[in-house]
Amino acid sequence: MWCVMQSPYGEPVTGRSSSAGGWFGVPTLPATYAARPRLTTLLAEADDAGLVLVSAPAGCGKTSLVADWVRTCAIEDVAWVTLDADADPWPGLVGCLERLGVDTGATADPEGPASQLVDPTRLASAVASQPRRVTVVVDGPDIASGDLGHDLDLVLRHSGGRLRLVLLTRSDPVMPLYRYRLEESITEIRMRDLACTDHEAGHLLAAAGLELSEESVRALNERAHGWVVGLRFAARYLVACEDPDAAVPEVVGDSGDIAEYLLGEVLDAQPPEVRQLLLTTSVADVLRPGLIEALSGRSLTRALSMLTRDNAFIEPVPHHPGFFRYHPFFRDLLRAELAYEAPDQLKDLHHAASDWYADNGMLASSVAHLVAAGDWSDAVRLVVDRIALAELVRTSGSQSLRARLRDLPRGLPGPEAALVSATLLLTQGEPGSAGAELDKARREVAEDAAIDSTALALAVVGALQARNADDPRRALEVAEEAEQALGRAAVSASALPELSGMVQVSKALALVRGGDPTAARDVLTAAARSGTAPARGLAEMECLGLLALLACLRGELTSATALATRASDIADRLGIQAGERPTSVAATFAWIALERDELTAAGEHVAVACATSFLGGDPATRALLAVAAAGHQSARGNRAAGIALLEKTAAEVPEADTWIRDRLHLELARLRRDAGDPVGARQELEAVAATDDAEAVLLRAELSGPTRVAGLDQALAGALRDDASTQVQVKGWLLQAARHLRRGNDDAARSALGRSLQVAATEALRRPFRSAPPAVQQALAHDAVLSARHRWLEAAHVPAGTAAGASTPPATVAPLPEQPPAALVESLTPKELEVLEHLAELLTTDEIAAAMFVSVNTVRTHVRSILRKLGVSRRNAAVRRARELHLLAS
Amino acid sequence: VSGPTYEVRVSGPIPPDVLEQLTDVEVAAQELRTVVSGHFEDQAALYGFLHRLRDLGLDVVEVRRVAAPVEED
Repeated sequence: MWCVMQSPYGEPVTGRSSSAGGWFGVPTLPATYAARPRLTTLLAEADDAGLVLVSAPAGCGKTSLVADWVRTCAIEDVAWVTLDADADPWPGLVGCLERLGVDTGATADPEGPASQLVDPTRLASAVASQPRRVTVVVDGPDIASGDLGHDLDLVLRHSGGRLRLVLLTRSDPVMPLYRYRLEESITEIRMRDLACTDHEAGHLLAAAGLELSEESVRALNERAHGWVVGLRFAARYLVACEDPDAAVPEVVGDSGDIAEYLLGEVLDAQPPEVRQLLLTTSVADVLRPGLIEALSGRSLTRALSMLTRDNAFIEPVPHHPGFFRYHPFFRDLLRAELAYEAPDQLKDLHHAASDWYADNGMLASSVAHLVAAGDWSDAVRLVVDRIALAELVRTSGSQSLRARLRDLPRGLPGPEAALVSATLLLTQGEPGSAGAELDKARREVAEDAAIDSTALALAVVGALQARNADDPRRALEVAEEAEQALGRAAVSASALPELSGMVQVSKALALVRGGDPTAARDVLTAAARSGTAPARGLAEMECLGLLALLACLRGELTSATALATRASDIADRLGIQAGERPTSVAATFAWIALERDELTAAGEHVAVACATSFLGGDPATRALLAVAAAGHQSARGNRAAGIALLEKTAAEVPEADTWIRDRLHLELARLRRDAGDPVGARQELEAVAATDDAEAVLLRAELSGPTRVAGLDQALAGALRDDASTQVQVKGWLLQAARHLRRGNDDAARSALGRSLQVAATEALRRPFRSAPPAVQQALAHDAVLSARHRWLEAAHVPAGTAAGASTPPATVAPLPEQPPAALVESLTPKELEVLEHLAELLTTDEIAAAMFVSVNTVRTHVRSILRKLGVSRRNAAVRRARELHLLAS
Repeated sequence: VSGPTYEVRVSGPIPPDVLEQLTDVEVAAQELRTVVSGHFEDQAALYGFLHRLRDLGLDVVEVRRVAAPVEED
């Protein structure tokens, strides 16, 4: 989970004990640490607080204090993670919980990185089920967003008191701290608590080998405002003096800042080569073997090890031989000093670090140093040269390439900047602005130039952006141009297969919009198979997602489930957040649940799908999601909302998208039919451009009743063949059954119904039967043999979260947005509810009248009113709808 | 209430729905700026508040520590 945020270019996977995101393990105390019983007691007394907040600026001794508390109070069931600057705290927090034996639901595969996606509710319940209380220390999180704070709050509140979260931060987390204070469920250790008393200052100085008079200690502590690092600096300086007490007035003298003064002393006290070493290496956040040499020009591991022994400002990274890091305060001061002393060298050092990271495949870190050096042009050129567009799309964590380029200034010269900017705009769901940037890039890339990485990037980003082109034919052209450019590319890079796959998805989307889903399927199937697995993750995920959605259209729900599950697995593996996955995946799950009449799950998946955005989406997926969402609304009884949603979607679909328009009109026709508006339904069908579309013909025939419909016999013959799609076969046989029933041919009708059920059974396709004509439903209800053989037909309405297999919402989904209230136009009266309950008990009208001591006519009135309010036409449908709406006790 | 007072200037007016969430500080609208002032216990509390403003989508343009009124000194 750590490593997915890193580049895919072969950074060694260090396993889950560590990463560039942070380090696990309780830090060791510096040799000069002086115990602070005043504060450790404070912590120990707060044993029942859920949140322990140690919030103070750098250098106040937060880490040492808490490490001392964990050790001396022998805190049990504790795990500690120290985060790097800007690191996402979730992987560390989840890693800690896993170390404590909490089943967080993250991938258990020790080879692969666990999912970085966190479902706070799930995490909380996993913690709540622990037999004992656990303590998690997160050192250095930057909880600066309300979303993050909200999720942390959720975990704390719902973990049943089984979690003690200790946060060591430099700024207060954006969390409802006032509530914790009111509930007294927080212990805070702040700057004023951490400031050393004179007594503690004396101990601290003594631990550093400095014996001073009380008066000197008081003077020093007053000048340092009890600030631990200030005192340490002072100690290091004074310990070298022959008469420290005499030197104290010099240190506390009123000129300037004590830290600046002492830092100068500490730095200047070092031999020149060590001083230089400290300054040059301060540009890196973590010093690692190789990088140290790249920055300083020689091997310094020994020198650094020596420094860590008696210096509080640099420490080895636990469990990582050869890795070091500076105390953040010291590092900032070193950097400031370097920037002051040698601004040119600072720039060179950033470039050297950038080169080293780039050579070692860590593009995001490489770009981060270029950005730090202010060289945006170099940064975007590096991204384009390395053909790292897929990485830009894929990762969104705080240490990702995308995050590093977030502040890319607008209007930089050169096509590369425009290309990176266009890609970033696409990931933000702004294809229009991305198009403008692309036009800018196009003007600057010569037409006849060889296909270098810039031209290649232009073609690929163009194909991604063109998914939203107004004309599907244009989208197809651009995708095919990109395909050719990739074919002719004179560059080779490991990222090419992934980009190529994404271009194929663009092509497939254009084909779908052009009305040829079969051709799209062929393109996707080929693309999903080509290339090697690690290199095509993003593209494979997209291919599978779209294939799954196309399978849904045909009614192949089992296959759609498998495809969408594979796409989800890839997204998990790549660590792609729920909101940043291709919409097709969640839309597929929604569609499957809808077709299987699992409405609660369908609603959840619709909400997830609506909240996702991937490269600005595309008209086809958007429309198909709208079809599923509207179908869900309608099945919930809110037909008007479903119809309105489809009409709104249709109004936004480009004129040239006849295939998409046909899908929307077809669904509108179905919803109008279900709403008891056959005239409106027929009008919708007249708007369907593809007059020979099998589903449209079947629906037209169904709506026409006994009247003959042109082309029906032909369409029906096609629909009843084994090679027709599942959806068409099921509906075809249902229509056939209805026709036989009308002619009084019951045996033939039963046989047709049996065929329909048989085809539907393999996919658990329930929806066509729910909206079948009343005569057909009745025939089915009265047919004991068929009902017994097809019990699956009734087994719907699985509560959310327990639906079988992949129709369960992925565990990694973020908290769901508020659901629209279950659609009930008018609420039922108590009497009507009572009647409804009797209906559920299968009582007859007479029996209900007897049970309620009312007349039969009164019962009938109640039943009519129930049917109207629930928007159904039959009693059993009323009971079913009532169950969905949780109106019935069972 | 303890701690020094800080004035935080943000550009533009503060939307009413955001305003509802800023209960623990005083908000005064000026022409092109809005001044939010409150007591903050220490630096960490102030930084936390600034993060909150940023999270609410407000553009902080200036932070100023206000000298304590004479009677409090």
